[in-house]
Amino acid sequence: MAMFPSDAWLDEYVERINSSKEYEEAAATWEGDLAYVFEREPDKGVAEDVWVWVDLWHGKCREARFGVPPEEGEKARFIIRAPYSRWKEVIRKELDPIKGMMQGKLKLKGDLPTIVRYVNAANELVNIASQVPTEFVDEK
Amino acid sequence: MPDAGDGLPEMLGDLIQGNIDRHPERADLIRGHHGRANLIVEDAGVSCGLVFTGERLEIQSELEDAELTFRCPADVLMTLTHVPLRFGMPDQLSKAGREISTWMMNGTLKVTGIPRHLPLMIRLQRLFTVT
Repeated sequence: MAMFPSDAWLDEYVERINSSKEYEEAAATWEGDLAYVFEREPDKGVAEDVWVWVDLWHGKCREARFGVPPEEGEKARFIIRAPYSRWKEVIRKELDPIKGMMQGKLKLKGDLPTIVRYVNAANELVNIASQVPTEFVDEK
Repeated sequence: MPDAGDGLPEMLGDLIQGNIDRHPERADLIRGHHGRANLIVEDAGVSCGLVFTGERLEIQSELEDAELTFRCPADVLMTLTHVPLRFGMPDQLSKAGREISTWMMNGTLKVTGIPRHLPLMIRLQRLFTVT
């Protein structure tokens, strides 16, 4: 069981992305990197914003880095950010990320027309995240 | 947890601006046109109003006097943004186009105000779509 957020959780997530046929098919023509920001919630055990960078290319994750500096993460083509608790809801599939964006619970920075073309791939990334055996940092 | 705002107006604004950046001719769908429409995403509990002022498109709170109203779930709205169009309407030869027709027939997607405001619906569809 991997702690979220952590390097070990990211490793498990990437491994599952790279073995997912559904994601490979949905993201077959996707080219671009993505940064996730798990925003600080000190009372939940997340003292500072956590930046995760993933390089997604043609249905695979070529590289991923946990805890990248914000100035590096900001260079990603797309940035999705939300408080830690919102991400926890997403991973538990209690919050649909598209609905979450419409409700302002998750914020996307980047070219929205590109994202909507790949909405199935985005949904697969969430499905994969929900399959990672996860222990949440505020529940340890 | 911090309070969340309503992200739908921001999303629509980004989507339409992104589409106009890619297809500058779509700015002509805004300039010189007037109209008032609502978009209600029921399962997300969010809505907004779109006002064509003749010079620009303003995205506001839900309108009380909309001429056209789209009411649908979030996943249907996402499909509307990438359905192929034929003569400004969802292409029935495409899978997504046929899905839209099915959703309109079974009430999943409700559009009130047509046929009187059909040109407004076509303008909005062309502004929304990324295809």
